[in-house]
Amino acid sequence: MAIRSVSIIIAGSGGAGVITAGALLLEAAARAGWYALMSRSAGPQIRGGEAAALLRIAAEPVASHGDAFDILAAVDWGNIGRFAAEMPLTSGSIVIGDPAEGETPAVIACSGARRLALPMKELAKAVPGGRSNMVVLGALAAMIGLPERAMLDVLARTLARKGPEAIEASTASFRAGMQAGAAFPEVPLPAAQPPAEGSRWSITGSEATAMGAVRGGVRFVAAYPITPATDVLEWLAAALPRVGGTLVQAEDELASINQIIGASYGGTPALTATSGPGLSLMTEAIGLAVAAEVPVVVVDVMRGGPSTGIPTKSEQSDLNIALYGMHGDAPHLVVAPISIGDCLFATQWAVHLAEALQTVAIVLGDQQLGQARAVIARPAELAFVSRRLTCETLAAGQPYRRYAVTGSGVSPMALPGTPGGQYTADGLEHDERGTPSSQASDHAAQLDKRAHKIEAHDYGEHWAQIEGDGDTAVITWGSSTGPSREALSRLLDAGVRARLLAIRLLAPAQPEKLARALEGVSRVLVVEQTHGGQFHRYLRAQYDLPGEVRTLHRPGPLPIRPAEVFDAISDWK
Amino acid sequence: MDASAAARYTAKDFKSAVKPIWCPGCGDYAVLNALAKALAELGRPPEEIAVISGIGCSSRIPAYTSAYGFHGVHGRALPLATGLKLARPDLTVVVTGGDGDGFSIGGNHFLHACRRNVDLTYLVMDNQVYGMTKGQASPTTAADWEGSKLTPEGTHVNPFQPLVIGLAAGANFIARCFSGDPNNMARIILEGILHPGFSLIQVLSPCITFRPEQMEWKKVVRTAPVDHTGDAARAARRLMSDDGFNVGKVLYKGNRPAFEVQRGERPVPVAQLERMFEL
Amino acid sequence: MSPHAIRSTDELLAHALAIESGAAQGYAELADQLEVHNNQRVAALFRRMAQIEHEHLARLRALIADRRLPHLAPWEYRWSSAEPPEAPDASGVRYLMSEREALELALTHERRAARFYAGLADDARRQDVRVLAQSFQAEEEEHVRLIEQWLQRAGATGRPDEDPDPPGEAE
Repeated sequence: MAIRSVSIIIAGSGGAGVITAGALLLEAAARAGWYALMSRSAGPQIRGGEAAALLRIAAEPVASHGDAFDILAAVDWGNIGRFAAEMPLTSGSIVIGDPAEGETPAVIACSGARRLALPMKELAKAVPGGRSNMVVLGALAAMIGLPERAMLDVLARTLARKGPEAIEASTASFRAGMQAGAAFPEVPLPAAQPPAEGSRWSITGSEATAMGAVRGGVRFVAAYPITPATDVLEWLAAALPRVGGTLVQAEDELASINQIIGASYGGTPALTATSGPGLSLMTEAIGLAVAAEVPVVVVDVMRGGPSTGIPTKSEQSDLNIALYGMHGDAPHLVVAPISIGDCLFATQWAVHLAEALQTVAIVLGDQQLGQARAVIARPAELAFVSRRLTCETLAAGQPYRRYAVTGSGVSPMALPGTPGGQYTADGLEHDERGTPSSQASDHAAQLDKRAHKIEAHDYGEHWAQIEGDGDTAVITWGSSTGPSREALSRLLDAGVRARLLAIRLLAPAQPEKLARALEGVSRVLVVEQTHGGQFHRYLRAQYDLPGEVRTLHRPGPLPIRPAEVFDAISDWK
Repeated sequence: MDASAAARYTAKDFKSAVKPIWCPGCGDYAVLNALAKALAELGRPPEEIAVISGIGCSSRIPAYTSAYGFHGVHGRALPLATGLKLARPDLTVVVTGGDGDGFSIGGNHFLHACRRNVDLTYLVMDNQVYGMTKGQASPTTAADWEGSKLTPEGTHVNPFQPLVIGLAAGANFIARCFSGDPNNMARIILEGILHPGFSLIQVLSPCITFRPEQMEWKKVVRTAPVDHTGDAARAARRLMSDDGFNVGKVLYKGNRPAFEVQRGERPVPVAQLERMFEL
Repeated sequence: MSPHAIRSTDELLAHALAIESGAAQGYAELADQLEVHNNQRVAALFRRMAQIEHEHLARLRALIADRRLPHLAPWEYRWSSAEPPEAPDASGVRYLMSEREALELALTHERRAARFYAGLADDARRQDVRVLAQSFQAEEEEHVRLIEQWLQRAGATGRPDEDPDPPGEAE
């Protein structure tokens, strides 16, 4: 069934507080029983820039924005042209502006949307301490059928710190807006079932990533800030000490990655988070961790690339460096969450795998997931905790062989402090004892070991999310999953059956499993947010794809829309 | 430490069976011996010691000891050691490497390690050359040394002054040794290990192959004329006028407390962290 | 530090132990170095010296028997000069060194040790210390004579063959 929802943008500039307004709206709707998704767009100014809060509210979980927005409410029109492409409007949309802010800009008006006037400034002025953004919220609440109580409770809770006057001012502004909005057309939310207490979370992708790390057992993080990954690190900075862990700010990404390798060598599961430019810096040390078989997790919250790129926007173009960024043959894990909620599981799983296989797991998140907030069902508690194979006691009289070739490829790791387990971890190729070696036999044996341990592991069902049936399959990953899933849901309504394969374990490839999942498929659509079709090329390299293959790929900064995927399939003759 | 603990180990207990591949005549042999002697006097078992290095001739040292070791990548020994020490404060962590590894590619980490003042002992074997890669100038090489094919006219760049820079950046213990006096070096290494915070020990360690003229160092070095000071300003003045050949003594001993991780009270269950997400 | 400071036979034995074990270990390490660098003749020579020192060390340990000697940190020994006699000077070795040069290095070391004991014997205030020091001196002087004999047989110095190959890169 296609998702029934209401999509709203609140835009403004120069301190209008539209992001705050959006967050309040999300929370009020969430507490009243709806699901919601909110992302943000902003200009480059640190403060006072143009900004927009983009929300989608529904009676069921929403993983991505729809094709267009139903309502755009603008506190002012400051530089709104910057976001025009991110706020698709149709003739069925409603645009609300403050007449005191002048004409609706052509770039918005050209959509043919219906225009309404809301005298926000005037209404706000009538209230002591009143603000336009709260007036807007009131009008929106009236239009969508959000109960007043829901917002008032949120205001009381959120503004408690600021005191009763602040609460009163906001409440009054909100009510004034509701009153004005009563005259506006209704854009009603679908009816929501009040969900069970404590059964849902409000969380961003970055928070979920960080939470997944902690659940997985990470207790040491070295941090260097970089947009848009800093949120992950800041959450961990507050959370880790509470569970007995440590976060240290490092001087650069090279220090971060090497510090976590050192901590992990000492026995503590360790992680860092960065974005594309940081991952580039870290690749040498990632290779060291692979060669020395020291487990670490590196989260890459992808942004527009290459180089400095577009730091505040999303893209999926770090796939290549995640897969191939290390010199030499350096097999490792690449895991990618497919939704905001999945950020928790995917990261937790990555920690578990990295520890179990004594290797590096790169978690590919992206800005779209990382910096959006969603209301999700409470994630299940899963028993994927780190379980590193160590050796507490060593066979007497035998020199310890850190890199012994075992059946699984995983050899027990002596932690410093274990008597008799002393060895020197090394990036140099080595023999089973860890002594540097340039011998062909040792190199082959260790390369085989490091490849085998990863290839032979049973990853179970988590390698991909597979849904639906039919002879058409959409293969995708990461944040492209949400719009793809929604498109397939609409196609089903239109009588077209198609499968979705959202791949969570990008490396190592799982050819047998993919072949099984694609049995009966004669048409494959690969969907990704890259300019160069990185994912498609990777699939081609690793997998046999049946029948006819088409690709839907384009770079950021604009998100893939469900309609694009829908059209690509329904137009496919 | 008590005499019985100190007598428990000999230097041999801290050397592995691996035969070093350093050129005969290399100063690093004496450093290895001095380190082993210092660790023997420290009295901790080898499994509680970790020796961390980067890349270079002197960075091969971890495998020549019987401690836990990590031979990391070029220039990154200090962050590797920092992460280990912060995760495992119970270990004694010694960082080793050369002047190129430490002050060129590793320069940034050097500055911040001094600032951060984690309890580490950093032993830099300074031979003013990149020995492993066949003899290029290093940051501590004199500006007019023309012995490298990469800089045949000399570098014409001021040499890096590790001790005064380390002092300014916050190192808590600073000393200079000469490989020709391993017993005294052992004493200073032990002192550095026992002194809290970041201990920086520069060892003039001649490279017989690429800087054979350094074999004359033994005629040039002199015992530092004054004992250490705890006054950073005084130490700075001394180091600014120091010619690099005052050896055999601790030059500065500060009293900054070592960096320690802020641990909370008793750890809370992970589930408690999740409360903030609940609706 | 003056050898005057050695006041008992126990202290003297502790120093002797350091000299002998230092020599045994030192020559063994030099043998390893030269072996790794494929100068087998000199390696064999150092190996032989290590062997002799080991025998000497064994006799010394027998002499010490159950006596509890004072523990001295490496920097607490009272060597009489800046060049402690407790290990051969490793900075003097070269991978291309000849047997003659190796013997000269050993000779320097043995003479230094002999001089140390001679100085001790001269300055000793106690009879038992003096006697012990003299006996150690005699042993070292025997070593000196042995090495001088080998030197005579070793032939002229000659310049060692130059190594035509340029230095390699290990990493």
